[in-house]
Amino acid sequence: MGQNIFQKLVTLVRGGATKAGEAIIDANAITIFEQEIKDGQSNLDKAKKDLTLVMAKSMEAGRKISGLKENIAKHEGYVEKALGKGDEALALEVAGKIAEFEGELQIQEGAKAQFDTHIKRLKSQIKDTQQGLDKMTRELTMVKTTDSVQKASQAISQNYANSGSKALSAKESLNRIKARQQETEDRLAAGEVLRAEFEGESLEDKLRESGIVEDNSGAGSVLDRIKAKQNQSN
Amino acid sequence: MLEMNGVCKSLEKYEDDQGLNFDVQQLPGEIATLSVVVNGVEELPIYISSTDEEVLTVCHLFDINEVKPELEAEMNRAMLTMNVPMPLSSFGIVGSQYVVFGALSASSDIDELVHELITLSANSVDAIEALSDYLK
Repeated sequence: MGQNIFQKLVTLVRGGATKAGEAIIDANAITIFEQEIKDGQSNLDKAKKDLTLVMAKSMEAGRKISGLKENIAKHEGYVEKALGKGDEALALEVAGKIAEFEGELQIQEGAKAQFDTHIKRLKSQIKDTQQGLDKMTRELTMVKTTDSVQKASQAISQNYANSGSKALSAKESLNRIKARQQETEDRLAAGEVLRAEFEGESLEDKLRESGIVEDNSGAGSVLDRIKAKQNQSN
Repeated sequence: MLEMNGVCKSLEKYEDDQGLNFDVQQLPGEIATLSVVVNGVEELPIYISSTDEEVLTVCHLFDINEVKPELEAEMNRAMLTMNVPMPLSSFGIVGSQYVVFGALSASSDIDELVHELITLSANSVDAIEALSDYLK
């Protein structure tokens, strides 16, 4: 298995090959990856099919083996009975049959052992292939995401480059934003002060006009105050 | 599910109780991209684009050329350190541009995107301010 997607990105960075517009993901890489996964999947399907076939054969051999063993046991009984009757010739004939069964049993046992070894091998092969496929599928998702994020961020960069926004340096931008924020704050504060003054003034005027608040700041009121004081002391 | 046409319309209509709103433009190109300006932060537009899995919001901070060369490594380290505590956004590099970006699941709703945009915009201003000693 080759480099994973992050290793590829780091290799590109170390090689200095991250210029804008440069494709990190080879256009063919995804297609190749997808083909590899497809091949892996069909290998897996074939291995699974083989496995069922071999398992069926193993079971068949197993059935034959038990059938043969039964037959051997049965015929051994016949031999004993023939010997009991003193029929040596019949016993020999049956023994010949048993030898035949035993030969067949040996063949079937050998075949079953082979099938079982094959089953073991196929099972571990299927497990490995499945693990490899899972890993590849995970990587493909990462590669595809990297690719689409790259395309999206490239589209963004392209638009950014065309927008003329980069005419300003970051510091100039910051200064403008800060100046604008300060101006807004100043304007809000100034508005607040003005509003307070206007409202305060007009309210006082109204109160004075209606006589609720006496005009006690003029010369007239000062004179009245002094006169009142004199009258008190007299 | 966030889709660029719908996002564009929703953002254009948006206005919060403090008068914050967005100026949205749909950009030409093979991949649907929006340019969004948060009012008051016109110099740092945010670009929105999406893939099957996620919505990407990107704000360009500065070009590598704006960085004092002798302080580049130190700045990169500072950015990696800031990455973790920075709310919702992360630093990144696209080509020669340093960016701050956020990624949302494509199944997010518009309120989450608005929150993301406002946060990203504030993070961009704060980041440039914090990093200005490293800039020429």
